[in-house]
Amino acid sequence: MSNALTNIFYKYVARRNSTWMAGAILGAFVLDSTVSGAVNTFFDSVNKGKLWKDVYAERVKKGISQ
Amino acid sequence: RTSRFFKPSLVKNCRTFATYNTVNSTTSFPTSHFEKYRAEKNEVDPENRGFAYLVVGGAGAGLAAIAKNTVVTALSTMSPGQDILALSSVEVDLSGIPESTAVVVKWRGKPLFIRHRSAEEISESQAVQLSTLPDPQADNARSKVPEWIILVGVCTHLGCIPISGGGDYNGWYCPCHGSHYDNAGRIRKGPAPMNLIVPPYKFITSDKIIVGDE
Repeated sequence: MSNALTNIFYKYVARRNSTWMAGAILGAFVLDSTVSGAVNTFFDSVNKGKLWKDVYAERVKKGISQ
Repeated sequence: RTSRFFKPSLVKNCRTFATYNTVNSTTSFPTSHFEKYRAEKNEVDPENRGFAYLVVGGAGAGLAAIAKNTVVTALSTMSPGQDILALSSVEVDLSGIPESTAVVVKWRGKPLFIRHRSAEEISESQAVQLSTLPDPQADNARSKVPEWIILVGVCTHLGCIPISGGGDYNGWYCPCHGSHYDNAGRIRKGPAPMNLIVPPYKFITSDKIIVGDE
């Protein structure tokens, strides 16, 4: 199955420079959003309660902020 | 030397000479057993270029992502700071304004007219027929609370600042070309095409407003 995937990649993306560039740019966007999303979610879960959005929610509940 | 330890079974009682190293010979090693574990040859891509290009392409995509993040971060240092953004909205305390008086506040470089309307002014404004207005707009569409009318004090004709209390309609009068606005800021007479603009605002308490979206 991995053979099939790499074959598809080679046959349709890697053989032409136009498709290669398009694939690299698209891959960059996908990679960036995935990695950023994953790291941000992990950071927020590790620092739960200390971030401004959690503090703001608490303040709204107490009636200090809107 | 004679092969004493390995002899093909067909040859018996006969001296045979091996021409290869028979002491450490491995021909008796059973290789047929391993055929089923041999890796299948990739017919389409025997050199496995797909995998190699995938690794290189992934590295290239990673590099492009790093470049994009660097450029975006560098450019975002040029975006306006919090002190500039704080100037974009203004908080006004309405408790100090008596009835039937207007107050002018500076907001984003433009004057803001804030008028505390009395009951007659409100009913007079609400009684106007919309069909008679050059730019028909209902009074309750222009003010969230009828007692408070908040307008951008720039004439919609050519940008002069209207004078409060002037004009034939108890509102504002623009001295440049003679546009008359009523107390809800709607144009009644004169060359101005549109009513005075109502800025975005919000009541934080019943006495305080923030003008300008935060």
